[in-house]
Amino acid sequence: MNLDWGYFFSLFTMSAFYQACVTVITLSTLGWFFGLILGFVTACAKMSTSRWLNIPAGVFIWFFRSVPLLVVLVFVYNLPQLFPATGPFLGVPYFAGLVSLVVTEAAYMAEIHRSGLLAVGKGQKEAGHALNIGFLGIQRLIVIPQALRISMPALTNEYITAIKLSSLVSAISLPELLQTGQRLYSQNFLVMETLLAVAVYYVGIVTIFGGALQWLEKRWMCLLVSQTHSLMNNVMLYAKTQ
Amino acid sequence: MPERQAVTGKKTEKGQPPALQLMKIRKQFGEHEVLKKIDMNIGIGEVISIIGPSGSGKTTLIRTVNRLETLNGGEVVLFGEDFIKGGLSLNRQQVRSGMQRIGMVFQNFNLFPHKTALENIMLAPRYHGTTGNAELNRQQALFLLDRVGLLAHANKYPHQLSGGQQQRVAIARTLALSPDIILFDEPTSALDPEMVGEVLKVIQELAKEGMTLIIVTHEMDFALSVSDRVVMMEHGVVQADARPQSILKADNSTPELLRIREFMGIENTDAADSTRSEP
Ligand SMILES: Nc1ncnc2c1ncn2[C@@H]1O[C@H](COP(=O)(O)OP(=O)(O)O)[C@@H](O)[C@H]1O
Ligand SMILES: [Mg+2]
Repeated sequence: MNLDWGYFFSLFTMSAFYQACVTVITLSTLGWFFGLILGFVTACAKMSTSRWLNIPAGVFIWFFRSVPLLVVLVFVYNLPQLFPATGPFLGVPYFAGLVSLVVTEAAYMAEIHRSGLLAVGKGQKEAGHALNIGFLGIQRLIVIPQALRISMPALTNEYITAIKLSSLVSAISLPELLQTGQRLYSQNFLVMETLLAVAVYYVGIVTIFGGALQWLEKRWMCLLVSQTHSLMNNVMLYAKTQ
Repeated sequence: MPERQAVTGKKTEKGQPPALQLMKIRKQFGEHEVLKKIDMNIGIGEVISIIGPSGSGKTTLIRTVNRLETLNGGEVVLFGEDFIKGGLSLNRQQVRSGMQRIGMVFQNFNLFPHKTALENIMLAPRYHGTTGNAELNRQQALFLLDRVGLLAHANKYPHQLSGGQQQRVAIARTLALSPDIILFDEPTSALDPEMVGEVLKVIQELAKEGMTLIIVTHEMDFALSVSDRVVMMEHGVVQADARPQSILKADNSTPELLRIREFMGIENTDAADSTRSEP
């Protein structure tokens, strides 16, 4: 089998690919970030004792975890047919892609946040209560910072997932990496060379940006270790005092 | 012990309401009645130790005082003002200012693991804005750390401290809001034996300074030496409530105190022994 290496290497000097990289990076970063926030709100709603909050949140998580992103994507992109008013926004492939990515990621990250929030011990909230700190203050100062440290590794993993999922947006003709490659090989038929280059671009993005996020996470890691340490200690203390 | 009585004598001034009055406190978990109409008065500056077998309701009792558990009946009056009424909700402001007067130290310390010792102490005053600016708050926190002998460990995280040190930070954290009453729930039960002393010493100093303390403990010698009164709970009722010297002196003329002596593991006096061995 012979590959056209000259062509392959030429793909790394093509500005269209670098623009596509920017699209992939911004799309997945924004998708991840808003997904993180929406996921957190959803997790809080699901944990709420109010039915008006926990049932819709449960349905949201259940639904968007079940429906493939590609289906969500095509659906969202075509929403303007039902609601013409959304046209200027959802008719744009980038925004349709972003919205789809956000809701899908939010559904996943809600579950990650929820397990993080549940992992913060009851005693922590009681200590806050004993210091006369109100419900919101306890969440803001005590529970959320600890929960985020617990769920951070899983959340950074989701960032890598988001980078890869963004390739699906090619289906609604957003010129991200895969789409840019597809346009090329549909003309020159050099499928293998083109996709190999696309793969290299993805590996580069995941390595650099996923790595950067993991590095940030590691800077928190010493605290994370302290977290698990004291969690373990508390478990042992509990066992000892029972 | 004598020193303690002198202080108490001065403190029980007439016309001043008690620090804490528990009236007919009832609490049940489902069918299980854990507190059965508990009555207790705690004077300002008084040190009360609560002892009793495991499951007798000691923890539940002090948790209701701190609103960590709701009441099924009865009232809690704090410095003469309504604080908790079983089933009723009092106005929020009253509850808040009452809560600020009560501090609590937990068996498992419950320090915030994502904050250093210093930050643990600074957190609540910053939240409440009680110590003015950040620098004053820091100074106060350092002062408190010094007071519990941990100034050198200000910037350590809880997991870097021993159990005894963590509990002392927890005491300092409670002191940061200048409470009038501090509740201790078995503050040394989770500690290795060699660390118990350092924590008890800090509590003893608070007692000497005239702080009102309610201490659930299994340290009998400590309870006898530090307390104005020792309360024994059993099956959700107060089985005995007596001054340490009454407990130490008790004999067959005070049969109600024999059970508490037995529980505390005090050898019976000659009198009690001889009468028992006679028949
Ligand atoms: N949250 C709870 N739910 C149900 N039962 C409880 C709860 N907390 C305590 N109890 C029960 O109440 C009784 C008294 O408990 P506790 O106050 O912890 O006793 P102590 O501190 O004297 O050992 C025990 O039988 C315990 O099982
Ligand atoms: Mg207990």
